[in-house]
Amino acid sequence: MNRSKRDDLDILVERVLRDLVSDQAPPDRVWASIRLELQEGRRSQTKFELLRLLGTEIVALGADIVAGVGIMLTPSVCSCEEGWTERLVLAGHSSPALLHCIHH
Amino acid sequence: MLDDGELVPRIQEGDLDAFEILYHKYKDQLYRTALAITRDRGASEEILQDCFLRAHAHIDRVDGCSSLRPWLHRIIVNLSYNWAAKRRLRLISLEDVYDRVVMGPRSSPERAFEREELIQVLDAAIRCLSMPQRVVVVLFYLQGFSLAEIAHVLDCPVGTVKSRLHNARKALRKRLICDSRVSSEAAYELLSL
Repeated sequence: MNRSKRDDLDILVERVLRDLVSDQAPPDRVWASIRLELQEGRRSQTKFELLRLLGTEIVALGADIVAGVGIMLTPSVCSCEEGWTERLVLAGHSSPALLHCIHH
Repeated sequence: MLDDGELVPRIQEGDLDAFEILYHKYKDQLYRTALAITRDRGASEEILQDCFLRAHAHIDRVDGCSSLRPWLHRIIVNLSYNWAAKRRLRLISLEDVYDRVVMGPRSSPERAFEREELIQVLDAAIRCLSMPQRVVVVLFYLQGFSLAEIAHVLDCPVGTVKSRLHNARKALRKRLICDSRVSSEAAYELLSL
């Protein structure tokens, strides 16, 4: 096959391929589906994120409660720890509410 | 039209309007690539949709310094491969497209018939190519990618692309020469359209 024949073939293939699909375009529903899916994905991601945060808070609160109960039930080794509130303060749980309990 | 370098950071920040601009910029050429490979409009629509959903999911990996065209073509070609593998290359003819292609205003019925024969033979020859060869032919002839760009899209050496294109040309030429329906006049007529 000589050079000109090969060039003719190239042109033919290019022409046929382009003619087959030249005026073809995707319908509008394709973008509508993409947009919808992305928005739904975003919504479910937000819900998942909220649930994850809620779960984290619940776990943290549960851990605090367990730690607090543990401290309260531990026998006192220090005479200055007269009540459970003081023990909690000494253990680092010095929230304003606890301080209020201690001083009033 | 905004260039990709401006769109990418906006999309990465969650701007859906910027993503829509990107979609409209590339949708036609990506759809045509999928259509030329699969020859199935419904499949091409699904592939295009998957392509942009994947692009959106992985947009963080893009640096935004270069055009997204090769990257998007890589996704669409991979999805087309997957589709063909699932369907085992069962292809649907686009007879309706031939009607528009072959019926030129100056054509006599005989010439139109011969051109139709030629196009059908060539289209059938393209469909008979192996999937890797067909993908290279579509990217090279339809999308005008260079050999190096095709190698980048397909993630293979340039030599492999050259080899696939060479073998594809050889197969197409053989098929055209062997097919008794194709006359030289028909080929000339098609080229002079």
